[in-house]
Amino acid sequence: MIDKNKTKILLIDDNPKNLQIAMNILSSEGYKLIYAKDSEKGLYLAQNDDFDLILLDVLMPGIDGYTICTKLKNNPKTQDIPIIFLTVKDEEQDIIKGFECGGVDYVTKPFQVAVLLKRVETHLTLAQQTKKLKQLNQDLNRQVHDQVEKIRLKDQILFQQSKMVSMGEMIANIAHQWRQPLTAISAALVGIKTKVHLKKFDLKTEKGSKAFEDYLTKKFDDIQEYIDTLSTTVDDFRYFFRPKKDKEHFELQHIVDKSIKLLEEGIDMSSIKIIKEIEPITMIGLKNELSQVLINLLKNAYDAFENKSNQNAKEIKIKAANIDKTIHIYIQDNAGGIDTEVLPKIFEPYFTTKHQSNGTGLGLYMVSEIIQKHMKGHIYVENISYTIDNLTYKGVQFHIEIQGGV
Amino acid sequence: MLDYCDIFSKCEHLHALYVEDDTDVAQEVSEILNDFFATVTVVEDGEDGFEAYKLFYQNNNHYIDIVLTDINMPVLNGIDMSKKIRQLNPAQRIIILTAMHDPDYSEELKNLNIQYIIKKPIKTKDLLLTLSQASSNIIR
Repeated sequence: MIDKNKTKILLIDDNPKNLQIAMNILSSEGYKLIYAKDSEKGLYLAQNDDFDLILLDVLMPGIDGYTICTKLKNNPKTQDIPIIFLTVKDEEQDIIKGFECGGVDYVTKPFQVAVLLKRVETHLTLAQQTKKLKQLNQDLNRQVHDQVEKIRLKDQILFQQSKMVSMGEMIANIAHQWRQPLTAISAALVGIKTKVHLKKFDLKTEKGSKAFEDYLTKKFDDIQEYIDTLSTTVDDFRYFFRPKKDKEHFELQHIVDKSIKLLEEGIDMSSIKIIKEIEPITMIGLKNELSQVLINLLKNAYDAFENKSNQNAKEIKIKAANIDKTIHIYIQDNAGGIDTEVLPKIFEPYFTTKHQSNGTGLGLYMVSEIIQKHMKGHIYVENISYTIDNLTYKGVQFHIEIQGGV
Repeated sequence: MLDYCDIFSKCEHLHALYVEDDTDVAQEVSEILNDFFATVTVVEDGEDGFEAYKLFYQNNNHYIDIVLTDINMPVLNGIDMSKKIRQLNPAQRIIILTAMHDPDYSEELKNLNIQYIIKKPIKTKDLLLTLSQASSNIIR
């Protein structure tokens, strides 16, 4: 409903008689009216005050009604005010021109009271509703924008967290790799001290001195070798985890082998048979990212076997093919499959079926993020049946589809 | 103050079995042990360790004096081997060598009543202290 007392209407007409009639009709309804007898003043008022509706004569000395209408429609401040033209004649051309320059309606003179009132009211209502809709739309847009921003921030935090997880895993891997060489170095040093303290070499004789010298030389060579192992480990990991974004040429087979090797540094895979059916494929793409994806998927399959200690045949099969430069990689296992309710959720962040100590729930999320965002590819998961020696097992298949085949 | 010669005099008549799967570590540690003990038998997994343990008994009519073992090994790990040994000889002196990054075996070690633990990487003081304690008052 329109609150007429709060509705301000501007009347622009050079004919005092017409003005008077329109004023009478509208004021009697309670509208607040302001009038202008010439177009210059009318334009000035329209631009400097706030009106809910404008009634505008077409033919006036000076600026005509169409020009005023065009000006008001081009001004953001006044463009939403509905303008109704007042025309003398009911001429089609005039009416069309009025609509073309932005008028919403027309009223022919002399005024018919009921028609004038009805049209004014209709356009006020329409304008009010349009304004409401616009406001609503703005609110909605702002809400959507806020939510999108929130999600983006959350995503960023998640990615940071998964990066920290990878870093944690990398450090754990290095620590694991370093354990034996560090122990060997420490033992070699304790060994040298022991020989000295127990006087195993008679340094007073030339023979004893020579033997001690030979012994020390040998020990130093050993220690050097252990240190080389430490250093190689760091280089290996730096090479694999360096955030290198350049695309490189590489052999898929090679990356698969490297990924398996890296994974085996951390966990004992000996109970699982790994079958590779990989075509010789040369790719161009993000090598390290692909390796991270493979490590995560293989680790996931490995974890799935955790509760299957009674199962004799445990297999992970890695298949790869290059079909029209699209690389399809399949990772299958026979570890029992994934519950159908759980299946759609496995790429969600923090979703995990594993015990807390085993999984952060970020592994598969990271995998899908890397594939979709960094590699512009797709990953699909489904339950499959897996046959070994005529025995059928349930299992899971991850299917990666990425570009980059050469 | 720990004295190498004191420990040597305690150990020089004793026999040790050392189980470790990493060849480098096995090489270095067995060199130290060889400087202290009369004999050192080195094997690379828990199953071979248990076999060597039984064989020593067959040949010598008494159990070997000290068993030193790593935990993480293929076939049979150090904990399970220690369980089997303790079933034969509850008084067996066992020294476990373990890395800090190994999974937490403290509960199992406590249940097995293993008193001697050397952390890897090896510190001279730890090794000497443990050898000194483990070789004291051995009764065959």
